[in-house]
Amino acid sequence: MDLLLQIQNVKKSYDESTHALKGVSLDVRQGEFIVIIGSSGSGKSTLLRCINQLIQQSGGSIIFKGRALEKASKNEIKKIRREIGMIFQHYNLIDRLTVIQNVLHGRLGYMSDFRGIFDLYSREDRWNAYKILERVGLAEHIHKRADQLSGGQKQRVGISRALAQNPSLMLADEPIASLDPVSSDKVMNYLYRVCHEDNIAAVVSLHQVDFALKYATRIIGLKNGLIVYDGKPEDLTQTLIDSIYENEKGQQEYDLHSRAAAQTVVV
Amino acid sequence: MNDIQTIHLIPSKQKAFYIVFGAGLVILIVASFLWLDLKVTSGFNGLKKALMFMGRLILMDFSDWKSVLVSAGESMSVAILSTILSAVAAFFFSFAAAFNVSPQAVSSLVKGLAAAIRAIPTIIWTLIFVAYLGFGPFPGVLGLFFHSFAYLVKAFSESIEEVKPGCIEAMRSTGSSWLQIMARGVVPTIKTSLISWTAMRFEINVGQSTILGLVGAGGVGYELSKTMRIYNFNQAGFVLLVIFVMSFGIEVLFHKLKLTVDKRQLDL
Repeated sequence: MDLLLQIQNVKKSYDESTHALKGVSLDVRQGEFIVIIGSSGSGKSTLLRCINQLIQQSGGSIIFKGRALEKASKNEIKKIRREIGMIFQHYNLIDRLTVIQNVLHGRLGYMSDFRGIFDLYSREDRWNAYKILERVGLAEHIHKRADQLSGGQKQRVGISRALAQNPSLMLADEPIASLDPVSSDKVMNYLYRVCHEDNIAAVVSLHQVDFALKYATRIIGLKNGLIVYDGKPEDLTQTLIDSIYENEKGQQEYDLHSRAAAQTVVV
Repeated sequence: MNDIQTIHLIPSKQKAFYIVFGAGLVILIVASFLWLDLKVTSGFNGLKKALMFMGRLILMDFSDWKSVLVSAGESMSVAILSTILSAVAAFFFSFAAAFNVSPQAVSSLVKGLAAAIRAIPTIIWTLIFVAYLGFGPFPGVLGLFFHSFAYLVKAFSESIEEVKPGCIEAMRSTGSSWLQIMARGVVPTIKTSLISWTAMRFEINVGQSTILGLVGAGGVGYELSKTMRIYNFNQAGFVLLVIFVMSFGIEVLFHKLKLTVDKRQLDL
């Protein structure tokens, strides 16, 4: 399998005392569906955001398709971002725009400023956006305003926006943390299916170990900014899970309560 | 059951603050009275005089209605022009002023500038332009423009700052440029608040435009000062009526508009 992304000893500190990432190394190959698990504050979000340079790492190297991101210019970064789709816990759609307008935002990076500002998407782009929405079961909702959708539908629009970019890598930052179990399963299903069908590698951070075990081709355990597990889902034992979610005081953070809390955080 | 203790509803620190705050207000009021050398009795006399004066205003003289209405139209045009021009200008500057989409130095600079402009009241801006450009409605437009501009830059930029960071982040992650993010992400989100801020400023400007005539900027305020100066209170009464109808009418109109928009859930 082809090497898509290399993360080499990446470090990130926000100030002298807080180190979100303390040296993370990871290779991502085409066709992989990687799930990162770890408790809040373990560095999952930071790691994902370093991959598309929404956050710049303080040290180490990130190489996407042979291009070192830390050496790329602002313009090059924008071009690279087009190839990396991202979906978010809170969907981050533009509420007042229609579903199809939100999906077409995935095309902005390929357009001139002028065409982007005035919503002048090509006929082809519009058609493709419609086809994508058809794939995630939202074809009849294309003209609904984004804020009229349910959480699960919003996240499917989020997936569609990322797909519209025609990415080779998909990042997902706790995509189901704000959803109920049924919607969660549906969203994970769609996410997994489109990535698999379009041969898009995925790096997904999750709070729910059961979902990680169900979908991941490979699981990364992150704890205090370091990788503590990198392997197949089958090899992840309960003891390992416990140690990943164990905080410094030796208490389990991953229990039913924290799971319920994670699922009720709705904005 | 006998060992009941008193439970305070708010921290004692907060209670102390309320007491100090209340005492401060009383002191300020008393000090202001003393400073102005106001006496309660003179206040009553003044009130009596004011009521008598009101009585004279009520007997209106409509004979000059044509020129009063023409100048009212002038005031209204001043308000419309200054509001629209300042809203358009403020729209562009507000992006530079909003700290979440603009470099910190630029944001502070534009915000500081707007605050400085706002610190000078509209009437003084107009006075400055009257002195420079002469009498007429044009200095009124400029005076209102400057103050509205600074006001709307503040209002608009605060709306921009309320856009959820996640929305901007999501658009950045697609590789969109800054301009595209502003146009397709920020503007649609803040559109309604831009419109309502502008409408509110228009209401203020209609009110303001009527008094700018007092400093020589034309309009219905000029009619008012003219009639007052020759103690023609009957004519002044009519001018005041026109001013009242104008300002109040705009408020009622905008209120009705807002209700219709809300009721039909129109998306502006």
